[in-house]
Amino acid sequence: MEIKGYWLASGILGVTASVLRRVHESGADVVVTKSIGPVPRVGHPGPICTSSHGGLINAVGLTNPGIDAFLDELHRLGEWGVPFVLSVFGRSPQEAASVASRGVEAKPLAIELNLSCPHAEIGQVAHDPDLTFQYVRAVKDAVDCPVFAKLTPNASDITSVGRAAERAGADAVVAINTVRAMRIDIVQRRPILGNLVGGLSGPPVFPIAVRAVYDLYASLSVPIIGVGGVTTWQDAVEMHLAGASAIEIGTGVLSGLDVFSRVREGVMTYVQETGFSDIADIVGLAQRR
Amino acid sequence: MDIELSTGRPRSVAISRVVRENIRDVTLFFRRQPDSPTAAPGQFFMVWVPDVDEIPLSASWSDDEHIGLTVRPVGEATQRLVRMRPGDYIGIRGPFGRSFSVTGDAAIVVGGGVGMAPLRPLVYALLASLKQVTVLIAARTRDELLFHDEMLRIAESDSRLRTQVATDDGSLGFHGLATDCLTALLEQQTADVIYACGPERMMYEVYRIALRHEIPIQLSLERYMKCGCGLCGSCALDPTGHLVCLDGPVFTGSTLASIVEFGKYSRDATGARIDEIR
Repeated sequence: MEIKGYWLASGILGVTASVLRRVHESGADVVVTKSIGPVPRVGHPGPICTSSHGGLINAVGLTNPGIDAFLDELHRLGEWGVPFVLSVFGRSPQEAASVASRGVEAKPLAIELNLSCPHAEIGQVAHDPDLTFQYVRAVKDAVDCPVFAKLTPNASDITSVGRAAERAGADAVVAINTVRAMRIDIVQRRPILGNLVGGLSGPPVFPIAVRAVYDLYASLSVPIIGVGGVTTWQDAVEMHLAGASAIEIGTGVLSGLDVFSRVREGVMTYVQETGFSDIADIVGLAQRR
Repeated sequence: MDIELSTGRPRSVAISRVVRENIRDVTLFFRRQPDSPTAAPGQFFMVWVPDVDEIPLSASWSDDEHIGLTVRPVGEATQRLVRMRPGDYIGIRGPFGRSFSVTGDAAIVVGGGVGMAPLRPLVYALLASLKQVTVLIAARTRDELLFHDEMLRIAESDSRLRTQVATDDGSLGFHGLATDCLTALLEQQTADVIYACGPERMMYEVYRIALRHEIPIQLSLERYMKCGCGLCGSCALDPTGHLVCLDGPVFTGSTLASIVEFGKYSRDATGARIDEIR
């Protein structure tokens, strides 16, 4: 598949075919499903989200119906012709591989391997290059379609994790997942989220994502899919300049489902007005000094 | 993009008053902060019950000073809520969702069980804009009728309001289902709009009756909800992807005509389809 355009990020709205189709029809070039595991999972007790300093903190907790039930939704996406990437997780490389190999039956464009949900037990995988290598290798061996590794900004060295994913055969890396965070209610004097800890997304994480994409672009040769706090075309241009070939938008859908087309049009105008012929021409341009 | 606003300005409030409505239902009131909006009829709040969960609850009262939420104890969070006392804290986000719209000149309002909660403010709004209103309150038994005494009191002094009662066990009013009572009612009087909230089986039947009589309808739907603000997708409807939290909870008959799952199935907390409606 060609890695370009403006995609729905995993975890937002992605639990049924119906709403994913709606997001695609509203302008997302590709939709990434919610992360799917081997068995049904309720997720964390509420509150599962709150706001903070212009951003969102969520602790949904990998809610999903399990791959068997979700296959029905995936087949419907296929029938409707909605281009989709299947996000999967597992408690071990083998488990992730088995979910992915079940999922490819529905012919996703690619598998996005969630190695980095910061508020669930799989959150630690993408902190460690060796573990990341094992997960990516296991999934690559199990499926024929492209495999993307979704990385965490909570790792002390995201580029070494990215390099491990690339060595294991990842066809692209996705950066970044949410940033581990917490809010405390000062009236009740207790953490707000049911899970206590969650992941920060939205505008406050944007510069963290730009830094991660920039560093990864400099040290990897596979494409980077940028995600984190993009809500405007200016954000998207900046992330392309850092090195993102495609961009995922998640929290930005709170500004309306037309965010994908608004961003795309703005970037196209920028590209034309600055004398380039294609968005691909500006990818990674900020790397030169 | 204002995420604070989109997520419903999360805040903690103290319960200011607790009113027992019948043998099951309790209304909790809290003071509205001056900078937060009032709730329109049909809108809901996400209510954080400390140590338990966060659940959606429709506003059953909203004025400049107070907001009321009527709770029926059916799960852990609601059981905790009905035991709350003035001074106890809950977290609040909202109000969320699309409200009922006041249209027509003669309305029938059908409330089944705790479904009367969002319909109470609607009845006041309808009367405030000079409508003829018939409110049909249904419950399993007379002790579970919600806001019946209050509606009777209003009807005593305001001839524009008529009340009708249906109980499954016949302990008061019409002996039988709300929908059979509605059918009987429509033989005696007409209406140019029907509003309903209650068990989905009831609402689906009300919808079909309204369709037969060619009367426009507005229904408040319920689906499993986690975020309340258009992020998680738990409450998405098939096959259109309408979100109950953002595009509802109040839907018109013409929208419902395109929702294949209405009256047929819903989804559980994991997102899996269940052939079950409340």
